[in-house]
Amino acid sequence: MRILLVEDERKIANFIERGLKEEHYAVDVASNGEKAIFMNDVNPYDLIILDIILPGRDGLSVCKELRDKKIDTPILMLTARGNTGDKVSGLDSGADDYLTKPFSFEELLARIRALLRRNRINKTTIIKAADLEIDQLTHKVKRAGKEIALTSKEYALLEYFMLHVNQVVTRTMISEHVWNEDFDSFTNVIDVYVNHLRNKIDSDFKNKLIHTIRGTGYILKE
Amino acid sequence: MRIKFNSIRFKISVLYVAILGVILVIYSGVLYLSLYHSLYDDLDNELLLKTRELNNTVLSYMDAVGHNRQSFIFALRRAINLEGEHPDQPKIKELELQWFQRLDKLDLKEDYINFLDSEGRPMVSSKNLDMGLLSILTKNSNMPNDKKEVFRDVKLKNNNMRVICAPFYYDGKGPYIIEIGTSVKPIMRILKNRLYNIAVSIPLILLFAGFIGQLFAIRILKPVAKITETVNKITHEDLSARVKTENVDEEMKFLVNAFNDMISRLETSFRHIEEFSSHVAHELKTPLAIVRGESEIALRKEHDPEEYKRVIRINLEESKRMVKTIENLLLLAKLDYRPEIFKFEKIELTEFFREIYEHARTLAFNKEIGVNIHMPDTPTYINADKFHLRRLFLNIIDNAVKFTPKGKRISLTVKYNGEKVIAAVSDTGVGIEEKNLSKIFERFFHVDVTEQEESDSGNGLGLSIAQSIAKIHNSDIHVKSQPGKGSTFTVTLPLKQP
Repeated sequence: MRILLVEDERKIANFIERGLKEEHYAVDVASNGEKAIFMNDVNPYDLIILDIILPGRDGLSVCKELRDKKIDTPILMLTARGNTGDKVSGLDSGADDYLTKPFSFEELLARIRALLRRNRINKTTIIKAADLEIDQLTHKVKRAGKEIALTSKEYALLEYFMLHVNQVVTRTMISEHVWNEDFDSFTNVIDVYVNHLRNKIDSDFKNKLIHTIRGTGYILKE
Repeated sequence: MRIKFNSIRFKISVLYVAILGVILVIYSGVLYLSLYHSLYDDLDNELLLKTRELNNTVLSYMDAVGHNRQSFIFALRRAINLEGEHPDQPKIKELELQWFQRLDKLDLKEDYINFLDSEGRPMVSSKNLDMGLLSILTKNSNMPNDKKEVFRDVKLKNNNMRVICAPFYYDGKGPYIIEIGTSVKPIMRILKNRLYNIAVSIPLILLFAGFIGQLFAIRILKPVAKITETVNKITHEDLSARVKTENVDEEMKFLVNAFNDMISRLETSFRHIEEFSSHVAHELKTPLAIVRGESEIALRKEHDPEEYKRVIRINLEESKRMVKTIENLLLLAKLDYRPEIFKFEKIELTEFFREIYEHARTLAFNKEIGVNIHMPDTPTYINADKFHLRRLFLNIIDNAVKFTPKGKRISLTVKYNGEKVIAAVSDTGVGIEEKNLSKIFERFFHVDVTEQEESDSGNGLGLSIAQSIAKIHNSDIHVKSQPGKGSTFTVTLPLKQP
């Protein structure tokens, strides 16, 4: 899951970015509104965290512009102002949720999870495919009741497959949603990670879940 | 419409009704008295006319039948009571008809007629006079002196009477007395009726006037109700309401305008406070968010000791930043509201600026910025608060260092100009854009910094504090700037006169 963080306070952006990366999210940071709109045009984000007080144009106008462009990516507003009027104008400009600084990081993570599963039929944090299941809250992965240890990137990759079960997932989709802007898409890093993941998930089982679609990408089939 | 006794509306209507009441009572009283007099005058005239007519009738009789005592008595009885038959009746029948027609017109039948001789003894009297009445009329009859008529009122049990006494002469004999009394009942009825009308109509008019007065008062006081309505709408959250001034009377307009101006001033200061507290919240919540976020993330998982050290360092920095912000806010509050904390004393400027120069060098050292000073070395004195004046210059220098790139220069120039000292801090930094020049002294103003400079943009209070300190020293800070080339901040202070 790839997140755009729009925050001008470098130190705040810093810890949110690090905290989210520890939670297997791919994170890009924009320090002002113009940059945020540009980055959103270039990359497909699964969620945008938007500070209201920004240099130049503020978060509210950024949010409005994104919504006017028919971009329905969930937006989580972040600000130091916490009175009802500010919350109302934030939500009215098109934001999906609102968090006041200083916030608890756990709460930020919970709100992000809630926003990301908003369009899913299954609203719990556990996603299942065949005998494989992952818990988005604890990041535990089990196959046939047996726990499997994954690295941060492997988990993020598997989660993306699980959210698109029985659908073809291209390398571009993976690079855009599992990695951030620093990723160099001309390498074969994705194939390497998919192989690691296959070794951990499929090698001990007769029923293989991850299949290669030649020339296109991969599919996780139940 | 409920009446409140301490309301202006009620007072206005009461005053209105009271004034109207007094006017009405005086007016009605005057009318009543004039009516009373004119009715009595009419009655007297009528009585006078009656005596004359009777006089003429009797004399005409006697002219017809002869001038002797017998025909005199006969004429009296005939005229007053239509008694006795005269032998020459046919001869006088026609005359009589004319007389009686005239007498009838005067309606003598209802009156009491008494004819007395010159000694005051009744000779002939009308039949409606019983013995009692006759004696009353006779007893009180007084001889009209100097041949003039005399009027008097006779009080009876249930019938007051107006009585005329008029002299009567015939053939030089007399004076006899004609006494005619007439009841004042009809007059009294008219007067009573009038009095009744007055007594009933005045309260009715006043009641009606009171009602009209209330309506008037409501109309006059309508703007007050409007003001009240508006005032009730105003809360600390919404000060946008104003009383409409169109269709408001001139006097009320002053009140309404004054009131609207007051709300405008309140609105401005409320917005100011709101903005200020929002800035304060932002300045304090940002470091808090950093401290909290860094700590929470550090505690979620095991990290290496270097990471913990980094988090502790950040937390320390941020708590220092909060303390600095709070100190600056407290200082600003003191500058604004407690100017008495300043201790003005005689300061020697050469020494003072040398200290400033040393501080400036320390501040600029880390960014490898050079500092120049140009200053005459004649001892010069100024009356100032040394601690805060130093703060003023250091804030300006701090700002200059912040916006001057590494390796460039800052200069401090001091000049004495008769009664003034002019101190200028020039930098060779990024300069200030024209649109921001007027804003740099505002509280919490931040220039929209680009990424290279964002390392430490401060809390936006430094220049604001400098400006407040300058104001307390009867001075002002002027700034000139060329974007890309640098800025010059100039402080002009009055010298202490020897």
